[in-house]
Amino acid sequence: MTPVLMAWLEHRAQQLARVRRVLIEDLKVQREPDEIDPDAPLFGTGLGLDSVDAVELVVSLETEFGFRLDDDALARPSMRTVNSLVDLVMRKTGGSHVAP
Amino acid sequence: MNRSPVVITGQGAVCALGLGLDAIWAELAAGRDGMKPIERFSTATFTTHLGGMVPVPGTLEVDDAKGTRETCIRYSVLAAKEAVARAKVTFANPRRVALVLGTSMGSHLGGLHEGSAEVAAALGIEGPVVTVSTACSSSTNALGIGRDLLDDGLADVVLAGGADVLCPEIFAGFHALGLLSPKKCSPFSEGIGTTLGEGAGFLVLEREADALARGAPFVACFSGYALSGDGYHATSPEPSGAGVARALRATLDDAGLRAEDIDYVNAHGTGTAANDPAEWLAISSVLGSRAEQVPVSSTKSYLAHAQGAAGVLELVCSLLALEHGQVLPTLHFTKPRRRGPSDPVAQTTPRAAKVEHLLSNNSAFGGANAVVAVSKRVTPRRAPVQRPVYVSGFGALLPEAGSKRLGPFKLEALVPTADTRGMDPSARALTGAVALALGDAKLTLSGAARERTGLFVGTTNASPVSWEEFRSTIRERGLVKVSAPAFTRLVLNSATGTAARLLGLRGPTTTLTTGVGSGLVAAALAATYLSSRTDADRLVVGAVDEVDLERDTGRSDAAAALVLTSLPTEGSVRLAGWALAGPRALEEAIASACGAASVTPAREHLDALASGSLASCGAAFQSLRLGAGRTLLVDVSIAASCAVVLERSDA
Repeated sequence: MTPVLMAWLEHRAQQLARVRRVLIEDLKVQREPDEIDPDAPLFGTGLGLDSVDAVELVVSLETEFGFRLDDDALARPSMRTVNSLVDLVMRKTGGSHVAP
Repeated sequence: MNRSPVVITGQGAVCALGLGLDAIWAELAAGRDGMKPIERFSTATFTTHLGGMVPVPGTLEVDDAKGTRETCIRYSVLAAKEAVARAKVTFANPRRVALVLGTSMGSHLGGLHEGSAEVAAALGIEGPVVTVSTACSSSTNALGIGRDLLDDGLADVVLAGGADVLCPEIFAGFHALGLLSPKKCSPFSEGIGTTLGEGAGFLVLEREADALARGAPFVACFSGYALSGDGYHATSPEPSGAGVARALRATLDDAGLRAEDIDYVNAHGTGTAANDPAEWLAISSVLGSRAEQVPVSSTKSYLAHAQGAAGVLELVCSLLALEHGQVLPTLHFTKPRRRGPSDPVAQTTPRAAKVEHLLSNNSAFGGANAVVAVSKRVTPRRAPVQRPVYVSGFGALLPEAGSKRLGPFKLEALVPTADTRGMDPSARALTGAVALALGDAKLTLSGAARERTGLFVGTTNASPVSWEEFRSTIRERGLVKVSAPAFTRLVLNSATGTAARLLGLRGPTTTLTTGVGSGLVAAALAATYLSSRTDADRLVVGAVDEVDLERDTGRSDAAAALVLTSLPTEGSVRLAGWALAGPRALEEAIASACGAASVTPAREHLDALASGSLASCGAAFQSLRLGAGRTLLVDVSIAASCAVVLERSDA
């Protein structure tokens, strides 16, 4: 594995940890961080978030990561799973969300 | 139990259309709505700027807590005084006049019951003062409870209605939930979303015989009402409309009316994507083919959504139209949405229509539905139902000795299926106590039994933890990014809605406060509901106190619940008598409760006398399980006195 790839993986793991913390602390998901499956759907049967939480999720991510999401961010596919959120964070914070 | 028809003898209102019925009718008749860009506070950072504000220029300071409460009281007093004047009623015996005030959050800070007590004092009312707080169905629910007080003979005149004020925090909360429309709301039409408003409305209710005896004006007959719970979600209605349908059906039954008798439905019709289709499904499922012929409109297209005051204001507007032989339109209607009324009265002015009986529905956060039926002429009551009320289970969560805080407990151990995400301490404690009470009553509810088991709760405040969470998001992120989940937990009935959802209680539900002793008052009103009608077999009565220890050092946390049932079980204890009276009339409450229980209120006839928290009520129930006896429970607050007699005679 190249050092670049290793650094990218480590950065992504850190962002996943921060997203999990947002889900637990701000969205009150009642699970331990490593119990949150990265592929779990955010809404409905996955983590059980609903329409009331949607705006809160956007505001919490903006606060945690310091970027601004568009008003239509909620309708995007990036709001589907924990992993897709992490990809969104990678993209918005300047790093590529695709592995080098 | 008295079964005289109940009549409306006066009404009064302030809302976005103006102050007083004459001003309001002028706007209604002309098809002019009251929605305008809000001037009272800045909406610059929001995506919408419209509100249905009461047009009282320059006198309202609403962005501080005290101002909000005083504005709410001011609106209430204006509307209530108009209702009293129009009813031409003088309070010969002020102790026999009751106030039932429905409010969501407009006067939240400082205790809802304190605001209501001030309104009562301004009107010269000295009977019981009950504050109903079931979010957007509060005032509709209050009308029903007012009717029940007359039926129970606990008052001769009832002022019932409600009030709410639109303040920046409420505007921000609805905005964060994504429920506000950028344009004037037009329920059932394209253009999704609601517009918030405010105001106050009150009706004077009296028994027909009393009204006739004093030659009172006649506005309409209050024919029936019902409550139901969705047990589905914090803010969205059950999508099939099953919860609303139960309340509509039970109202028809209470009023002795059939679907074919209904000539008009005033819908809750908020304009949101969640409410409107679910509500129409409910109306069409209950009215059947009649739904195709009946006009169904939403007055929110005129007044905007006046929150807890919405129900009574919409009824007042419907009654003004009724008086003029008309029904109100849904304004601003452009293109019908899917699953909307066959006839939404999509026009710009009222329509001439012959209406004998109408239904008015309101739904709310926490899944609390309330429906009233009103008739143009006095309609006879259906044959009275009088069922006994038993206590069959008790549960409580109390702090350990020496502590004021409830210790940590595993709610998941009591309710294994519960998703406890985002529950505040009030919701956890109430749900725990209700689960314990259901377990104590050996009840496992499923299917239809859930729909016939409801939840009445007495409490004093929404969770201070949720309030702090809400305020901290305002401080840290600004009003425009306020926490929507925390906002939904600020309504007084939030814990009730959560407990009902987690435990599958879908029967009649309400949440009320009289200050201390609210739990006992909830028990008394639940007993009235259960004993006098057939849409529920059991009502769980809950009480929860989550104290803000920084502001209130005298009290401590507690949660308790009693299961009331009309179905006797082995060794069950009877709730033999109950009564409410004014805050300075405890002896009258005791005499009425003992009278209803056929006991003399003398020491030798009573085995015990206890202060009436719901927990002590539970303790009395526990000891009566062990042997025969009678216990009188009493409590007094600044709003009401309450007395309840528990009895076991068969041991």
